[in-house]
Amino acid sequence: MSKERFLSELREYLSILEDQEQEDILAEYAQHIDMKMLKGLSEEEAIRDFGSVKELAAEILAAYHVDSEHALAAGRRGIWPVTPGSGRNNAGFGRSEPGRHGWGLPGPGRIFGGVNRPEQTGQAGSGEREKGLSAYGTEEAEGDEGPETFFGRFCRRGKELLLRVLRGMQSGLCWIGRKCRGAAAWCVRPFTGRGAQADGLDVDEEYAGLLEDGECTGPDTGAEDVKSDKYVANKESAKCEKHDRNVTNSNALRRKKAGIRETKERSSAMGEIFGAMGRGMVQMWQWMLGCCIFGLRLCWNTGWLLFSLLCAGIAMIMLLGVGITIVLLCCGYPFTGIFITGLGGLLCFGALAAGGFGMMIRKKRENEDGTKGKKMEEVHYEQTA
Amino acid sequence: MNPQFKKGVLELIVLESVRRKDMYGYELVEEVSEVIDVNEGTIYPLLKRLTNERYFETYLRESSEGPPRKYYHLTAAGILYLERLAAEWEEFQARVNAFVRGGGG
Repeated sequence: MSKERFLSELREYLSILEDQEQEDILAEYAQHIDMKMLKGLSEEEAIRDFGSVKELAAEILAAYHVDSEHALAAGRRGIWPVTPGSGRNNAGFGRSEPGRHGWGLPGPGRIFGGVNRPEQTGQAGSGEREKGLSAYGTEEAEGDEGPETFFGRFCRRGKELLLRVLRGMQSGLCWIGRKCRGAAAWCVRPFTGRGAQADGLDVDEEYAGLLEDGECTGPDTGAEDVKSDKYVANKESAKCEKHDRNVTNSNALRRKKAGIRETKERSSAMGEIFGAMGRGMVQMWQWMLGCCIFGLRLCWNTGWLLFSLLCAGIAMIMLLGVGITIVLLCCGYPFTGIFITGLGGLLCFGALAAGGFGMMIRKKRENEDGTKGKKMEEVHYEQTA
Repeated sequence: MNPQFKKGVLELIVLESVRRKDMYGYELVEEVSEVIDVNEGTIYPLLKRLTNERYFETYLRESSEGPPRKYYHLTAAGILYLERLAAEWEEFQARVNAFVRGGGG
């Protein structure tokens, strides 16, 4: 048997395995034959030492935890009844933990690749190998239904799982979207909220001015001005009449009246100017105060946000580390200490990140309370006014 | 020699050989053949399985003759596994010896 024929025959028996695995194995055997030939053996002799190709293939498949007889038979149809462990014909030395070998599992996981290309394996098998495998004909005939249903069940389970995962992702995305919208609204609120506050306080100031002066200086209270003028004038005239009934000097009265009106007018004009100035100043002050509060809050929140993002990032890295350590632990590396340290770090930084976010939310609540309080005061003011 | 005996200890011998020195496939086959007479073809599947189970790492190194060779190196997990296997073997053969000799003599 030539080297090429040996390799192609072996490849056919191993067609159930992934292409990469086949290549690896065949390369090893090719190299082995080459080395033997370098030592002076003939090609024929080198290959004869391997024994029967079919037995060799069965050994190799057994290493992949594939039941060799079934796999060899199934190679034709591309079906692979996998019975992990049963293909291993070990005497049992050092095999006390069969579960452990599942971790680096080369077998079923990779052999799935063979299922995805049933046509290919089918074609490969239905060629020359038919005669060699005719012994398994009976098994083929009755084995057709079992693997089919198994495959179908596998597909259905996979679909269900995928759907569930997708649904979970959808609801998760919705939740994130809601949170994002809430966060955006909250970020914008200082701008919209400040205007309302300033307006409210302007009104407050006007009311305060009203109470302090005891006189109406606002432009919108002109009508009242006139009224009070008349009232004062009437009062004055009444006083004059009372004081000096005999002497009824209408001129003096008129002068007085005119004087009063003049001062009143002057004061109202002055008041208007001062009022405007005051209002402007108040508005400016209000605006500055608003800016200051907004800036402070921005700084505070940004600080906490950065802090918690940093912590969250570190926690993520820790999570990655813990994940890797778990995998390595499962592979048998002695990383228990590192794993526990990583877990502790993960929890610690996770808690810090959560705390940072918590600080932000608390600040927001304080602000809400503050604005509520102001509004309440406003209402109270209006009532008393 | 009973082929079932060979199969059982083959893994132990292969692991121990690679622990002493990183080896490529053919070298390893020769080394193992010196200890027990075994079909050369059966060692490669074993190497493959031990590599897939992460007990071996492989790397390519150029050789003066022919294509680059794939060397096998024992990982930390492989060392642990070898230690456990060796301990089990010791206990196993001690018990079997005790039984066989006790029964025979």
